[in-house]
Amino acid sequence: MPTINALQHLFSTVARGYFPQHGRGFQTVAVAKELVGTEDLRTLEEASLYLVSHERRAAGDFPIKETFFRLPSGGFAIGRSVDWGTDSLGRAGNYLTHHLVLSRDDWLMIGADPFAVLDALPAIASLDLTPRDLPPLTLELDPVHIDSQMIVPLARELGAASSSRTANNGRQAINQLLSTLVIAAVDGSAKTMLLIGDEARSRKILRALFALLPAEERLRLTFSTHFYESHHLRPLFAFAAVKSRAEAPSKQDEYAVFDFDYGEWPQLAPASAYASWLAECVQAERWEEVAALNAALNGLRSSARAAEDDLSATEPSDWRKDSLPVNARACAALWERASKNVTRLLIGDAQMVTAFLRQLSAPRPLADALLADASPSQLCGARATPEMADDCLSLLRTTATRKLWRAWVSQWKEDEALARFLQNTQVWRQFWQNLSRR
Amino acid sequence: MRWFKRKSKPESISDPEPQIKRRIVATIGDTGVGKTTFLASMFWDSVRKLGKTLKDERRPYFISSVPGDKNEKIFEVFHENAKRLGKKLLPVTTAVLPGVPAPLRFNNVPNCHNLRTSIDLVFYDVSGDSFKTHEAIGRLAPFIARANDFIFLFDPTKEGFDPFDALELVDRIKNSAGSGQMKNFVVVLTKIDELFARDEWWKSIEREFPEQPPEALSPVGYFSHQSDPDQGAVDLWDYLQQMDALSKKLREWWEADNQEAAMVVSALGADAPEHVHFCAVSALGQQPVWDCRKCQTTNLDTLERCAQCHDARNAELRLADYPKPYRVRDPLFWIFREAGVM
Repeated sequence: MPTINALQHLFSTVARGYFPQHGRGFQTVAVAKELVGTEDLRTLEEASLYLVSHERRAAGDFPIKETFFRLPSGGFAIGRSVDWGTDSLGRAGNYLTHHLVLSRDDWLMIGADPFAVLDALPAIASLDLTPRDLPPLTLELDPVHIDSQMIVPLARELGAASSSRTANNGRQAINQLLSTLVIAAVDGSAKTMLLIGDEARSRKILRALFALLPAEERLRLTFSTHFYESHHLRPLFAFAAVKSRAEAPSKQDEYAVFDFDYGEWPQLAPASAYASWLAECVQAERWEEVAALNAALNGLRSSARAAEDDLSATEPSDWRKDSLPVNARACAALWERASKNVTRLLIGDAQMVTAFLRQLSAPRPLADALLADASPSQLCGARATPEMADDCLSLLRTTATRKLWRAWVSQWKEDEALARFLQNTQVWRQFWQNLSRR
Repeated sequence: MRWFKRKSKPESISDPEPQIKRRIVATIGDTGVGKTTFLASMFWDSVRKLGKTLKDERRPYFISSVPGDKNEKIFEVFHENAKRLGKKLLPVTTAVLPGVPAPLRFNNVPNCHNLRTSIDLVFYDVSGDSFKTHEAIGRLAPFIARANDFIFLFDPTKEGFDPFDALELVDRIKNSAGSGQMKNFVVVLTKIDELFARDEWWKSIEREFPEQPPEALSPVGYFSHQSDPDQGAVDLWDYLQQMDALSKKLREWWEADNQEAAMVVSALGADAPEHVHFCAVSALGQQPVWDCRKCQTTNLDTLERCAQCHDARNAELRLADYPKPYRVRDPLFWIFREAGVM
C-alpha cells in the first residue's frame, strides 16, 4: 500500500487567520510553510470557493465539493470543501476547504488516483482551525481498479435516474456514455466537460473514468464535483459537475454538456489511437484488457522515468506480459502512448514482436527502434523456436528501414540467430533463383 | 431601375423614448460592515415603502430588471436576500468571487417638479476581501475603474474603529478608480441604531432626522394615500433638505477632533468636495440576536459576549423582529440626485 506525504492548506472565514494583517473574512487559516508566498497558494485560495444555491440552502442540501487541479508550480492538489455553518459574525454561508498538494512525480508514484487520496483524508470535522504552519500529512492509499462490478451499479443508477435515452438502454447507454467521456478525457478539449445531474453520481462516473486510465492520462482529468457559480475557475478543471441545469453556468458555449437527467450528450469521435482503443474496450466491457494495457503502460513509463533519474528500473507487480492484448487497436494505442519504450516490453519475445509488427498499420518506426535496441538473439529471446525467430527476423527485414537493416545485419553477422536466419534465406534465395532460371 | 430618388421616411412626430441613464454603483467596505444587508434592505425599502409613498397612478415608482440585460444576479443580491430579511434571517455571507453585475431599473423616480425619470443602476455586491489589496481589487472588483458612484460603508459601532484603516481603504479605491469622469462618493455610517442609545448627540440625530419616507404623490394619490400611522411621511422637497442637513452634520462629526478622519474626506473630495455626501443608516433597525444551536439558547446581550461564549459555527444571527430600516434610501437618493433624476 503506497504512502504519501502531502502539503496541507486550510481555508475558511475566520476573525483572524494565518496572515493576521488580512483581518476578518475568507482566508487561509493554516498552511504548510512551503506554500507561503507562492502562486500555488493563490490558486488554492481561489479554488477553495464553495457556494450553494438559495434553494439548496433552504432545503439543507449541502453537497461535499471535491476537486483535483493543477497548480502553477506543476504540482497537483486535491481539495474537499464543506458547508461550515456560520462565520464569526453569525452569518450563514461559511465553508471550510482542506487541500493536499503533491508534486507531479509523487502523484505518478501513487498512480495519480485523487479518489484514493480523498478517501484517505481525515474527517474534515476533526481539523484544527488554529492559525499555524501545517505539517505534511502522511496517508496510506488504496488505489482503485476498474472492473464490471464498478460499472453495473452505475448503469442501474443512470438508467433509473433518466427518463429517456439511458433508461431505455441501461448498461449499453452507460458504456456509450463512458466511452464518450473517455474520448473527451484522453483527447482533451478546450471546453470543460460539464456533467449535469446528481453530483454524487457524477463523482462515481469520474471515479470510473479514473480507473479506466493510466497514471499520466489521469493527471489531465482535473475536476470539481460541485461547480455552482464557479465559471471563473473553469481553466482549472477539465470536468465539472452541477446538480441541475439551473445550477449550470450561463456561458454554456464554453462547455461540452453531458446532461444525465435528460440523457443528452455530444457524440465525440476519437482523435488518438489510445482513445479509439479504450472507447472500444469500454463499449465491449473488456475491462481486463484495459487493466493489462494500462498496467503495461504505467510500468513502461515508470521505468523510463527511473532510467532518466538514473534509478534502478522496477516493474510493477501487476504487469503480466502474457495478458497484454495484441489486437490492432491495442498495439497502436500502446505504441502511440509509450512509443520507443514499447521495445522494452517486446525484446526477448519473438512472438510478441511478430504480433506487434503485424498489427501496426505503420510498423517501420517500431522495427527501427527494435533494431537500435537489441541484438538478434536478445530480440528473439532464448525460448523462441527457430521458426519463431525466423518469422520475427523476416518481418523485421521487410518492415525496417532498408539501410538500418543492412547496418544491423553487418553489426550482428556473428549472432547465432541472425546467422541461421540468413543461411535459411540464402538457401531459399538460391532455390528460387534456380527455379526461375529453369 | 429607379429614375428618381425615393423620399426618405418622415420622422416620427411622437416623442422618442428618452435615453435611460445608466450608472455603475460600487458598495465598498470591510468584511462584516453590512454591504449585502444594506443592499437587501435598500431593495426592501424601495419595494415596501417607496413603492407606496412615491405613488403615481400613471407613472408609478417601481423597481424592475433591465430589459435585455443579464439579470441572474439580481435575484441573488436583491430578491433572495430581501426574502431572507422577510423571514427574519440575515443574508448569507458573500463568498470571494469576481464581481458580477446586478442591474436594476428604478422606474419613474420623482423630482421636486413632479417630473419622473427612470434610471438603471448596476450594483456589484462583492466580499469585503475584494478590497484588501490593489491586486485583489484588480482581480475581484475591476468594476471599480468604471464605477460612477461609490458607497463607502463604515461601521462606527465596531470596537477599535480606526480612521486610518478607512483612509487606507479610500486611498486604495481612489487609486483603482482612476481619473476621468466625475465620481460621486457617499460615506455611509451603518448600524446607526446602536449609536442612538449611546449619547445625547446621536439621540438628537434620531429626533431631528426621523425615519420618514418621502412622499411624491400625484393629486389623485394624495387623496387615496394613507400614510403609515407609525412613521408618517414627509414631502420629497423637505426630505432632500433633510439629507443635506444630515450630511453636513455627520461630516462635522466625522472630522471633529480627528485629523485622520478629516483626511479621509479630503482624499475623497480632493477634486470636488460637493460630490462627497454623508449618510447615517440602519439596514435592520435593530441589533440581531444569536441563536445557539448547541445549547438551544437565544442571547439578547451584546454580540461580542455571545460570540465568545458560543462556538461561532453553531451560533447563528437572526432578527428578533421584521426589519425596520432607518434612512436606508439616503445613499440611493444621493445617487439619483447626482445623476440628475431626483
